[in-house]
Amino acid sequence: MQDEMIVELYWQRDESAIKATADKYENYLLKIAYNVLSDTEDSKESVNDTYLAAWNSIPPHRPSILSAFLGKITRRISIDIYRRKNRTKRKAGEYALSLYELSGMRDNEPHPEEKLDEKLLTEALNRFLTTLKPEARSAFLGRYYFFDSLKEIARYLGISEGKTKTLLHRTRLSLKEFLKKEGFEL
Amino acid sequence: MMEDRIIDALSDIDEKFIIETDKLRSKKRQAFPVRKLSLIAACAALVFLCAFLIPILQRNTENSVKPPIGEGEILSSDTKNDTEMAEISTDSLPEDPETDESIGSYPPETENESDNLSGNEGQAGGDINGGSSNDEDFEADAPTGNSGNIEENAPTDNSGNSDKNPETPESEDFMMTVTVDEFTEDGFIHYLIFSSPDSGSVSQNRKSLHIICPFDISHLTEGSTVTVYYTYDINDPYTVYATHIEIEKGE
Repeated sequence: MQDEMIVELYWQRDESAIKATADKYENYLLKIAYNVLSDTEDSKESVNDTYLAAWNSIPPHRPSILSAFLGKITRRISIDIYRRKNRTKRKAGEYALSLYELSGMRDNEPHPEEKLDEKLLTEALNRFLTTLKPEARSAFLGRYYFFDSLKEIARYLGISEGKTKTLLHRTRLSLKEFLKKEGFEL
Repeated sequence: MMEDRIIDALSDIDEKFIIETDKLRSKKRQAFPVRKLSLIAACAALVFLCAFLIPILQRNTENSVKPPIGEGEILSSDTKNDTEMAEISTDSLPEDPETDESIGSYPPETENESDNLSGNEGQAGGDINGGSSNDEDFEADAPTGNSGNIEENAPTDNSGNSDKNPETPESEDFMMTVTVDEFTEDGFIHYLIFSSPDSGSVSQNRKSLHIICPFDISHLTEGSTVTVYYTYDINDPYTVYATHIEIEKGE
């Protein structure tokens, strides 16, 4: 089914939109989730949460590229699950427990300053990415957006793993310099 | 921490970058079905080859088993015949002191038909080919052969031969009743064992049949192994027509 038709189903509040989404994108989303979580059950949970999030956000959104829209949601949810789990693990030590208790004082919603900071950082990253060659850009996003393994990146870029590693290393150094110039504290 | 902030910030980067990378990634995803298709194509090609090659190979194998002589010419072309090799054990044959021919030569140097039949397969084939003009005789006689009396059939078969082909030995087809040791699944005779060479009757039992043989077999010694190349009329599987005989002398 075409993406436009699926989005239309969401807009019509037709529950078959979720089935159509799952039929078309489940494997794609599971891959993104699994790259973050390395756990099948957690990945499935993340993908199911993605469907719910998509149901809640369309409308008002009308994504032009559904895969990118869904992938972004899955990525965010998976990262949240990952962090939540790691936080739970940290409960083991008393020191970690104290930190966890103190972290409870914080609001879940990010502070407006943090939001602004994140927005500025995103804009800086967009600028940085435009300076990169396509190969380096795809390697960078493959690694840090989709969390693909070096082997996978090397395969779809058609280069060796060693070259991929070098490419990523140089891109990271360039990013560091770029962000310093932009005034970000590292 | 900065790394977390970068990871979070990347969530909102321009979609065109994500799509660009995703296209590359999806190429990898599509690579699998392409490989799968290649595999299916390879399997199909293999099946195709098997379907055509196996029958050809089988046909070649069958051809290599067939005797080198013109066995198909004995019976009329519209009759389905097959020629196979049969082995006959001559346990019950009366011993003939004159039979001391070497392996592969048949018949021994007898006074009568030896000119036509002696020795090599080519000559034997020639005789049989000569007899092929008597196709109708064989076919006509086949039912008679089944009914039972060999002695009656023999002259009938030979009459045509002698008329049409003067080289046929003495117009006397020798008949022998044999017991079929084994039938193959499709009903063809696998090999034969002599039971009583001069038996006067032929049973309708499929385990018995008689061979019409244009060669003198009366001198066969006991224990000799006789390989008979033969044809038979599919309508009368109890009568086979020997086209060529090879003898392995008994102890």
